[in-house]
Amino acid sequence: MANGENQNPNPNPIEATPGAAARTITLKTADGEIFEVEEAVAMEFGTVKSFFEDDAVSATKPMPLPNVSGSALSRVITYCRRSLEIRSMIPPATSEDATAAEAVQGEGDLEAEKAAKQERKEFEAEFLKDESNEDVKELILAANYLNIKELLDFLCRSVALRIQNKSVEYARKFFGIEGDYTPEEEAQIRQEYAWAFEGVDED
Amino acid sequence: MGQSTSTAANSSRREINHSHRSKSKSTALISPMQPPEDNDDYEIIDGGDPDYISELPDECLACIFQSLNSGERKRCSLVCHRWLRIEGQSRHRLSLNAKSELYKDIDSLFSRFDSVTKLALKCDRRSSSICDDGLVLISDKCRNLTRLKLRACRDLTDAGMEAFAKNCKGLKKLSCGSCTFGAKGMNAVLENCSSLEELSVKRLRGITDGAAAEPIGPGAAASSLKTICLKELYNGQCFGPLITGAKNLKTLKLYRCSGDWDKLLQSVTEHVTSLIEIHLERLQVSDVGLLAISNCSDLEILHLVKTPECTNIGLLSLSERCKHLRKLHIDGWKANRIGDDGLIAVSKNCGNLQELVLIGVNPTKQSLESLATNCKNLERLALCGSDTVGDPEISCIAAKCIALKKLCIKSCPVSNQGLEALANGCPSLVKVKLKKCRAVTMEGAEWLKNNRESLAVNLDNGETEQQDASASDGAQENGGGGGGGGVAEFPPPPAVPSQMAAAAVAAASNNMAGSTSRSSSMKWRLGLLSGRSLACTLRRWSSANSNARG
Repeated sequence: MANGENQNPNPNPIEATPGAAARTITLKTADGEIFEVEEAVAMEFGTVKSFFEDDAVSATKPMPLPNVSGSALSRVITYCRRSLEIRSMIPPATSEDATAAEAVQGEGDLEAEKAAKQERKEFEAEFLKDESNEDVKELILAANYLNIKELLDFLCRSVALRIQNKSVEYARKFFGIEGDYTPEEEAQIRQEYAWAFEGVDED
Repeated sequence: MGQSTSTAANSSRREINHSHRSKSKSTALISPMQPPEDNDDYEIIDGGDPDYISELPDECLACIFQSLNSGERKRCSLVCHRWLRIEGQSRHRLSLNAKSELYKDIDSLFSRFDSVTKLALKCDRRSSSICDDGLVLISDKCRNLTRLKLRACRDLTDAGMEAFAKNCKGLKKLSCGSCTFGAKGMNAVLENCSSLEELSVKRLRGITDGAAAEPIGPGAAASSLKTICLKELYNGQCFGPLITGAKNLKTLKLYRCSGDWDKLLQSVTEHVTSLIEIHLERLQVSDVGLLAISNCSDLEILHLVKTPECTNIGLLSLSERCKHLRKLHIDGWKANRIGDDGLIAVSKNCGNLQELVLIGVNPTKQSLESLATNCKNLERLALCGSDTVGDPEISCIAAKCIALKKLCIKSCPVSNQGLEALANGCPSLVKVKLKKCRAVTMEGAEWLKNNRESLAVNLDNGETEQQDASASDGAQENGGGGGGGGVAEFPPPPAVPSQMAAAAVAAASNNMAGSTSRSSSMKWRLGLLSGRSLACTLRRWSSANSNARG
């Protein structure tokens, strides 16, 4: 399958190329599930992208993803698809020169960006609403393996939110970790860390 | 546990290259995992009670920690040894209390935090700071430092700075305040750190001692420097060669530095014409200096704060040559040297003006009209402490400023009637802020809100003590940095150069603590009034005149 074909910076996965169905890539998960994914969405996965870019790989065989389960992949695909949609709400910069594009960025563009931001906020809040910690962790592993930076950042931020402003013991319980410090070790670390300011340091 | 995945998935999920990853140091944010060629490298982690987060590879944990602040990261490092290691390795920014006792912990601290690129060493005025040896040791361990911030590290000398600079040649930003080293140390930094982009210096004692301080600059950093910020220097002129030699300089900020700067600005602008942003505050500079600055035809941002020797004439000549001016802040200190004439010239020459802040300046309808008509992109306007801005002037603004999005009026004789004009004027208006306008009441504000629902109306007449440092003010206090952008929500009210100010400053600090007020009035006597305290100053002064302590 040709990899360089889809150069559109804001691919709309729903849009079909004239006269042909949208190209799909087949993925096979660890638990044997087969997923046919629009090429644009699949190319969001860094792993998939480099797999197809490396050599002329036949498109007929499904690409194996031994580290990802079906349920995780399904969630990931949902995220990437939605994310692409939201990104296509913002008109791409037409000029090569970023600063020039910025300068002429009209009211319309700014409005579109705002709307896109809002959509993304709502979507992301909804996405993880019912996920247990175990689910979130599974998604992180999947996103890391598949090399999807945006999803990974989002997931890690969400985990951070779940543990921020909580005590050490809370963090341990939350993730089921046994603390392995001796009291002396802990005291030493606390003392060492006493030198570090806790506040946000402005630049 | 509500697992929807099959058991096959469970065990395959655990076949993750766990231990392989934990050996590598994750200094970058996330090192993307390569797609596995085959599964032989993987270790199978036995089942048993799932230790959820330990299954996450190091780089994912580092990514999680990235969203946490310093205190939270500290708690994470106390969770277990693995978290300690990862947290330490993914720490890029560290701020340390740089007392002399820190020295003994430097070794272990920086073994743990081995990826620090942005470091702040802050000491307080009462303690002795780390010495040269400490700084050298730190620099030895943090060879990749890109930013260093020093505060009140009074025990660092030129020798220490030189040794540091030789270790951290990749330094991009240096900000030092209340340090005591001198020109030699500064020159050593400039010689060694050839990628230096930002230099911010406040109160450097070492350059004031001695009759003739060594000149500073330009050094190897001449072409890389983009921002220079000098504050409260007695002998700031010795930085002359540096500024003059920084041929790619974009931003120059000079605050409360003694001496006459006209001549230096002349020689600077003969060689450096790339300046885009200039801040001059409490500086001895006149129209001669303004004319010199006008050599920089790309100038976009200009702040003239309390420079009463700059007059309409200087502003006019500047506007004629700096036609790309986008943001203009003038604090005229009620000296009335800058007024309608200068502003009209700006309006006619600088059609791109987007942001205008006038404090202690008295524009009339004449200039306001001209600005409104000629500056079609004027989006943000702030008028503060103007005796001449009343209801008719607001009506004028409302009628003519088509592009205006944000309006801020403070301490002006505007009344509720003026608000009426805003209900229908300024078609692009999104936000209006009114502060300390005695004749504007809650009713007026409510009325406006009801009659123009899309408009955010903010009224503040209160005596509530708020640390009101405006955006631009805050940027000033933070030295260096790109600054200058953003709206000045509340420009500081005009200073009152009299004993009242001294008394007011003394009473200025929030908790009115004895020692604070003493140091505040001491500051004033040295003529180094900080912008931030001014906001509180005038508030106190106007409300508690007789209560002010001396």
